[in-house]
Amino acid sequence: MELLKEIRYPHSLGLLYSAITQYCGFKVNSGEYKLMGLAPYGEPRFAEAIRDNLIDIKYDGSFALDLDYFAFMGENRMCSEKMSALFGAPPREPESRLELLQMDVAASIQAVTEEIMLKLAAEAVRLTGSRNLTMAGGVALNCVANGEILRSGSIDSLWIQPAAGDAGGALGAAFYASHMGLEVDRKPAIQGRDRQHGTYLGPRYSSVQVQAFLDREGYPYERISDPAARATRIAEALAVGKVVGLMTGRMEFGPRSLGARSILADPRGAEMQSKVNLKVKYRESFRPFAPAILHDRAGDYFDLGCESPYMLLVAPVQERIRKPFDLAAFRASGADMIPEVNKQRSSIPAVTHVDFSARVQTVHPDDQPEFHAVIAAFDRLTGCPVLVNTSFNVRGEPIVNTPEDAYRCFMRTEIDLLVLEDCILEKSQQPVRPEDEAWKLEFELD
Amino acid sequence: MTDTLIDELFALLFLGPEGPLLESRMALRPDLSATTHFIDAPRPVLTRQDMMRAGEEGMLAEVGRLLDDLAPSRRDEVIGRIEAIIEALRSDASDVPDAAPPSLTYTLH
Repeated sequence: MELLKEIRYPHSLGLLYSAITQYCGFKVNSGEYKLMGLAPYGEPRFAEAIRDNLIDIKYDGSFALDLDYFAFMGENRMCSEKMSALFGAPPREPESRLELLQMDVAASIQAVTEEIMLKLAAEAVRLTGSRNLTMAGGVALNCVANGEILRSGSIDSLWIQPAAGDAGGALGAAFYASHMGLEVDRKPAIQGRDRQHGTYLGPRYSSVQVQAFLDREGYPYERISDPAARATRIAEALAVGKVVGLMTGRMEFGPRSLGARSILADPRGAEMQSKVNLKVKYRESFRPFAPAILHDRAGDYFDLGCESPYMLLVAPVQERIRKPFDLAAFRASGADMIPEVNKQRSSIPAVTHVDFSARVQTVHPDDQPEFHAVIAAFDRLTGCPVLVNTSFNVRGEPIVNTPEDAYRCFMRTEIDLLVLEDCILEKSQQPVRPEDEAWKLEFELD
Repeated sequence: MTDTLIDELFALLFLGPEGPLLESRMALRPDLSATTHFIDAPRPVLTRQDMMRAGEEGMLAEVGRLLDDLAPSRRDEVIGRIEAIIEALRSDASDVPDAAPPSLTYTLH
């Protein structure tokens, strides 16, 4: 591995995106995905202003920020007053109503980000002669831009280490030392599948540990040891509209829940989006959930063309399952996003964004057999090989890790069924807990 | 004690009478008339010796190398203050049974 070109701090695409994230009222290093999700509601009317003022972009994708617009180098904020002057309004107060201004700023920075990433990808191909692209860094979690790069035709394949943010640097350093320093041979991908095997690298808790916890606490549960029977039991609950918390195997390494610590639901009903948001996540959201789909059925629902095991690619929902959405009418009617996101835009509305995009996870049985079996069982029952997959947490809290974490989240929310390895817990059978809302203040909202 | 040392290090790095010590490397003004903003990587690869150096010479020697564009006296002052913070953290940790000694990464973070 050889480093060919650099763009040095403070000239950073990630810091630009984070600055706009904060300007739009979201938390830095946390709310960037919300800005990306907000973009489809807007029009990129500020893209030229961003190119003319905030960032100078060269033909090869290299860039430089105009630091007069930024404050992150000397203050505990990202933007200077010049940013407000550029967009004609002060930064949005967190939690206040999102207006067309923020939607349009989001659409604009997303467009500029995509332009830069496409140019950088093309330059990487030119410099190296390779059409197999690998990306890392927090900006590589911008799955909308990733999808654009893949569909641009400038590359043949794209791989992004799923913990692409700062956490992944440790993994990269270890591999670099192993292969470059100690000259350990690299192992090739097997049949085109990467060797991170779904990135299930975190802690796991055995059935024995789970049972010990449940028995000690006296929580009633049903143990179903047969994996097929267990998958069917979970799928049956999902098919009748229940929300399921699934904890199985090793936890994911990286920011996405990929079936080891996930909340699952049926994506087919128009009401499921708001149900999970309001009763489980305790939020209203303008963003749809992500779909998890059997890897060999992805083409039936999404225009993807490759696997997306880490939920890092956004793909269009296939035309044949879409229902129309009139963006102009939405903007003219006052731009209230919450009712809009809850409308039926496809046969899987809970995972379809207003621009008919979806942040897809393709699930392969070699990576996560338990999760794959649940989706396959749901497909057999309903004819739909797709599930809502969202992180097993409530807003602002970390994703659950231990059985204790999972049980606590289960009882604090309206999750109907909890799966801890081979133990299944029904909410209706659990002991009544005293009402306590104080926990909602434990973590700062993201 | 540790907080005071950290505040003193922060003051040394950012609040000196001549301005921030590290500002010279941060306030880069790119040449907008250039055809590219890329710079050629000055060190395209890390050798095995590079990777082992921190272990052989100590982590603070590596920090010193990162600060090698500072005047030697200023660099030594920064290193000295970091060493003092590590020692203070080590002292704090000694009150807690089984606590791991503070790492350089933890100290700098």
